[in-house]
Amino acid sequence: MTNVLVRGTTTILGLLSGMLQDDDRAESLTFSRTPDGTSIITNSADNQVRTFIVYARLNPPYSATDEIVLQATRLAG
Amino acid sequence: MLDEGRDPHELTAYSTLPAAESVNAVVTYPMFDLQDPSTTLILSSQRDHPIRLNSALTLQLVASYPLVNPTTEAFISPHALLFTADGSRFLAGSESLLSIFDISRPGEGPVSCLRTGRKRRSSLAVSGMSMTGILSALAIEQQSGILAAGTLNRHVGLYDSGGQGDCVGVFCVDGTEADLQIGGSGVTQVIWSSCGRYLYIAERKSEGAMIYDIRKTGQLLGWLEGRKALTNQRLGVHVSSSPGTANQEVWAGGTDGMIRAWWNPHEGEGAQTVSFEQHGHNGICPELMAMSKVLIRWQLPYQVQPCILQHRYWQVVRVLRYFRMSMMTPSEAFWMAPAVQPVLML
Repeated sequence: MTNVLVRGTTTILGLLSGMLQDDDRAESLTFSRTPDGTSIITNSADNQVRTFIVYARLNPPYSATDEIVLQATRLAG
Repeated sequence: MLDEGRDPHELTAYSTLPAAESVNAVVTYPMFDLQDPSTTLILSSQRDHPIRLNSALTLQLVASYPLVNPTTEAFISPHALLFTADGSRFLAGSESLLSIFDISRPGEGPVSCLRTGRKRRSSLAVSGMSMTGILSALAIEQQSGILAAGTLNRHVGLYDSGGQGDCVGVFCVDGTEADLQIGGSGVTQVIWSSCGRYLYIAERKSEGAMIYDIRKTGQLLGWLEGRKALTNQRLGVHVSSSPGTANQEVWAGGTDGMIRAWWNPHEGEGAQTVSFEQHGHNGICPELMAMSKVLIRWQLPYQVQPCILQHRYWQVVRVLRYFRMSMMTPSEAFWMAPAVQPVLML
């Protein structure tokens, strides 16, 4: 659903999984949420595409804002 | 994952899909549902290989779609991929070329190709209906079916019928008033508003994002300020709206680890300031978690000396543990530790 936590979540995921970047070359690391909101797909500079299952689908009602902030906070602990 | 706790959660990858070459683009199947493993598909393009459709869970190769240069017979690697809403087809953007594949025809080439421009001067170039360069961003407006395609040369083209129709128009974001204020060096994302009227354009090395009123005026409407995205990496922007209302929220992450939002930026002209911002992390070391390695490197020169003078060697251990820097030498970790010293002292 969202691609907003680009730097924050990408970096967090990168740190936790040891995917630190070697440089800041273009397009070295991107990520996106799956349409059902349960997983994150990352594409990193080590030529690997990883699937992270973040959480089971949250029950409504949640506004987009709630979900985004919740996701940001919870992912980081 | 939703449990409370002071320490960061360990989130390891469920699956890892290796690639022999760099992966240029990845998209997920629009019907992706974790409850139905047959839909958990990811489409990826890597250099010198066909486009691949894999299961995100089992990594099984479901299908491949070759995109071949007819002259050199070399594989073309798209820099942008986009599924249609029903998932039956996908679009691939490469060097001045837009290709459309039928997902039900594995092993076959595109069902249609559209060359967006030619290097040589042509009648298309004169009429402003042509653009050259790598297609780096694609988005389809669901109601009208107009495809917006952005290039790393800072052009945006609009195409009818989801990319299978005629070119509606091409415009360049270089030299606009927004460009002078927020800069940019290549379109990395194009997003339609839910109403289909506005087009948001995000670029690399840009301090904001542009808003174009496509349906009414066809002109630049305004731009978002303060995105803090002066990097070559793709920093995405997300546009959300409440169902049944005209309200729009634009969310973006910055290189400083902040999440920013702009409420209804389409309602005004010119520069739009940030409405809301928050750290991406609320844990023990908020700044540290959100920082990138690049930013830390920037901070080194002017923060290294105080730490050395005060012999805060424990920070080296802490940073090592935090960053899982097993690949770093102790010397490198030592020199990086002072860079985050102000944060660790909070």
